[in-house]
Amino acid sequence: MTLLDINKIAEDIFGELAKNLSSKDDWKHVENASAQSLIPLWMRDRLAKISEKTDIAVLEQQELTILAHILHAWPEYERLLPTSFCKKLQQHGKLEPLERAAVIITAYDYGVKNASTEARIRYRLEILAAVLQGGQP
Amino acid sequence: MNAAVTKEPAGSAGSRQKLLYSKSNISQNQHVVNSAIAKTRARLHLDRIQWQNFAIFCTRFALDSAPEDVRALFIGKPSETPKDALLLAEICAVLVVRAEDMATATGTSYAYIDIWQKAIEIWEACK
Repeated sequence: MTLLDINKIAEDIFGELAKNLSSKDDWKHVENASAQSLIPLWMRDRLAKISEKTDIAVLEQQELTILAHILHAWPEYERLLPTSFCKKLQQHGKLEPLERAAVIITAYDYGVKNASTEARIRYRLEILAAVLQGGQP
Repeated sequence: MNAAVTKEPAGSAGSRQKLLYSKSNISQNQHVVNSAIAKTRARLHLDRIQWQNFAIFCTRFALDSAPEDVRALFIGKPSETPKDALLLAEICAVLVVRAEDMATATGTSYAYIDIWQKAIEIWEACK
């Protein structure tokens, strides 16, 4: 089936504005912006997939509450995570995009059910620590 | 609507007029985009909130074809869509509405990836 020419449609709607835009240059600009993003490509891709299935904002809030509770109840596990991250968690500080993405991905992808509480917590924090460094666990 | 005809905007012949619409003139670009959005919204008889919800819906519907950076803008609750991303959604919706009309009228189809590409170009020109 023939595809419509969206450039013509855009010119029809937006006139000279759409006509004068150089599509190749601008698309390159978007790709460059993507390359400079603070979140690794695999994480962004994973976030996009997760967001299709669940409400990421709610998941993030729930996970942050759980993590803050874990660090409060078991302070000995703080050593598994970066100090700055633990501080932000406990003081409700503003997390970096990479930290937020790591929290969401860990919560969604790496839940353990058949293990003791301590084993689950340790596993969760170790995975989170790995993802926080931008690497796939 | 005649899908085959490309309407020339008034005054497009002069080079000075072309400069007026260049990417550097952000306020002029914003004016062009806002009036196109307003026309589409009026044609659909939607109030502002209804239109914005419709635009976010259209955008999320086509999110699979969007670049990853753009997808990240629409993560989370639809009601919490950032203002900046909302403008992109509205531009996208304007293009989708027109493309949908033309596709229905001519028995053709269109690709979301083309819509995204053009919408992002126009959005970038308004920032």
